Amino acid sequence: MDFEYKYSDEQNKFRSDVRDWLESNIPSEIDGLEEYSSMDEGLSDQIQIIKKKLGDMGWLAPSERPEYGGSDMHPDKILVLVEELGERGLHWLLQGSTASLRNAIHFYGDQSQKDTFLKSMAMGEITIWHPNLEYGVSIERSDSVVRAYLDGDDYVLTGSDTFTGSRANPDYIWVLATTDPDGSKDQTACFLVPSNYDGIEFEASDSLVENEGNIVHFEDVWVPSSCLIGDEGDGWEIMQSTLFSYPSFSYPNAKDRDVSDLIKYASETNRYGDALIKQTFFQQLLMEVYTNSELIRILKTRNNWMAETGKEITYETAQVALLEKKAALRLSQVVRDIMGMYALLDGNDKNSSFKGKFHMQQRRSVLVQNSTAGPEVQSEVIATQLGLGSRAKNEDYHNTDDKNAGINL
Amino acid sequence: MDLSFTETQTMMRDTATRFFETELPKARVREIDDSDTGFSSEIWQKISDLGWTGMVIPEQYGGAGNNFTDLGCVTEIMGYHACSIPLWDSCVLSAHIILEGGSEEQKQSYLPGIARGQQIFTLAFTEPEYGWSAKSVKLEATKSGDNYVLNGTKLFVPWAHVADQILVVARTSQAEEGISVFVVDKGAKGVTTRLQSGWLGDKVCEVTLDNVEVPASSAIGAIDGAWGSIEAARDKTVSVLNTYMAGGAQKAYEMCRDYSTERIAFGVPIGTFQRVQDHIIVALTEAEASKWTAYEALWRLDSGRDDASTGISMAKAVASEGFPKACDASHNVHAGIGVDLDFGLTHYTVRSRTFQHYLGDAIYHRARMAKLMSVSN
Repeated sequence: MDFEYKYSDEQNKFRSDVRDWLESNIPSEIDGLEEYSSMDEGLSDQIQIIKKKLGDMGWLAPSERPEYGGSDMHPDKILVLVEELGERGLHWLLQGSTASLRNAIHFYGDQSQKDTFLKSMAMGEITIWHPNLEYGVSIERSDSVVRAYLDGDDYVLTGSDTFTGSRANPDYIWVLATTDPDGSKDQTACFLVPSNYDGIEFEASDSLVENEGNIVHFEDVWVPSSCLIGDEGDGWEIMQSTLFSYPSFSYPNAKDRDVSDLIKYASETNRYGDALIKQTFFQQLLMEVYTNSELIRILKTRNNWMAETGKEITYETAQVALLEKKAALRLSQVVRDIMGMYALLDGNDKNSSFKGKFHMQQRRSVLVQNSTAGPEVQSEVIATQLGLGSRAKNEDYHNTDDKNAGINL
Repeated sequence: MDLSFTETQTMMRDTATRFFETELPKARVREIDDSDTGFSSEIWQKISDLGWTGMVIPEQYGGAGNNFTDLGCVTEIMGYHACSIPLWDSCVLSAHIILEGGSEEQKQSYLPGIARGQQIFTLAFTEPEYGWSAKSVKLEATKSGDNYVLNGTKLFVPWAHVADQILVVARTSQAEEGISVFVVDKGAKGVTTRLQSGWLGDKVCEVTLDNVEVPASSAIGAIDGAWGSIEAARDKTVSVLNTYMAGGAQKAYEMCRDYSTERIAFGVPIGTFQRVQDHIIVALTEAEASKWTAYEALWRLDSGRDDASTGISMAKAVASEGFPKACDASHNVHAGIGVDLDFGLTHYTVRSRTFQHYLGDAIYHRARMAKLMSVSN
């Protein structure tokens, strides 16, 4: 057995290049930001500039073909790119859900759609909101709450749904709609709808974490059929396929920055007359959350190895997702135990630590429990894969299609 | 990165599986557990003949010179079949204390017998003030001419009743780590062993030393300087014990998974009930957490990484909590049948409780991790 990912000379050289580039191009306000939400307009603009610069390098969608704005980067190099961004807390700049959408367009989209969307996505020129996606879970057909009917050459969309996205003011919205006139919701279609169409109304985000859970209302929105991705009736399959796009790798050598920062905090902060880290009770808590993060890293390594060696992945992805949810909640509890009230201060408060990142962890830990649905969803997937559920194994949870192959960035 | 077992390891696992399926069905486990000694010399002999007792002892001392992952593969299968033998107590912990600290003469004298399974050693470390740190050792060895005199009581000493030799850890100075290890013949004057009774997996003993006189030459390594050898040997032992616990947890998980598909309630298998599924998922996850952290730690150990001890302690913390939790979850699925002593689940439950503490529990190992990661005092 060998649990170590070994880097080639070429990867090491690339790492050096990436590091130099990031050093020269990442403004100090963004360096180590770790969180995309809750930022002012100015910062948001700066991030768009950085995304465009990354796009110019072909790094924003590194696996994408050059004609679509990527650099056709080998997975070994993508790994380095992700790690280097992760070192600066900026891994979120390369968001996997965008990759899922690009995969869907590659597989289901026509040439015109590919030309329109793929390059601008890869160059960071457009922002797309999408339904909440969560690896390793299923969605129900009945989750489609927007209805679409054909009127001449156009579709008319009506209804409301919840979306997530990397920033406010999206350019497009990825909509799953039911097209069955009987309303049985078995017939679904996916649309990429420009956000400025008449009849689209945004409800101000009122979520625990900004830009998560945005509600969009569609009231008789006329959408040309060119916005339809794939064929009518493909919607549910497209959603399923993107949901199950396996994250091809997950930073095998990355440390959990929240945990390491918490350990740092405990080393630098005194309470009861001594550094927190020197007190037995707090040591136990810190090592517990450290172990949780290491366990997740090791199981992700296992999953990566299984994926790379062509072993069938059944419950493993959902298992890690379930552990991540539990670990996030436990970490939030330990953060409060260690930091006390300081855990709840955001970056605007002069007494906050680590730019208020732990305050965001408090919010996110609650949010991630129910990103798509509660942790029970992961449990349901695992049970089904173990042959225990009411559904047959693999009935709804397979991931064998070509459209899911390859690196997911 | 390659998480597959080597061809040799796969072969060893297959051999071990075949062996235990034949030699140790659950009825035999119970028979041995219920016997006076809790030990089967027949199985011990066969395991010795297979060479498992000498796996991690170097070839020049009669062993096979395997790495620890190789042995971990075998101990995982042992755990899966609830096999209780003094394999790690004698052939890893004691053998490696001798390897780490012993003289060449001591190695030549003791190790071949251990490797062949002809001599059983055990380590007498814990005392009434139970603990696994150096400062827990209170039993004193006082110098008397060329000899040392040992007085005191050791508790929870595994397999002392069937051991030939006992490595007694004794305090020889007041410095925190001022401890020494002496080889004491179990038949020596002043040594008494008493099998402790209770709900225990591997059998443990109270060992009383009443003016036991041993020559200074029986010390393994330097007087006052044994802690390093003990800690190094303990790391190696814990690393294979972790896979044993993972194997036991895996069996507890499989039992409840299988039972849930067979047991019908309200006209359907109980495995279709989500609350039952939740218990099964806990058992699965605890088993796999124990397994993968254990093998990751073994990899760190075998590849000589600086952070091996941290990984080993982390894996023990995971297994010390995970094995009991997997058994608890399995019991929740089995309900009444699970506590039937013939059914077999309790073979694992009792071992999960025993090994939770042996060589340090989760609390101990988390504290050790903190120290190793230089975040404590």
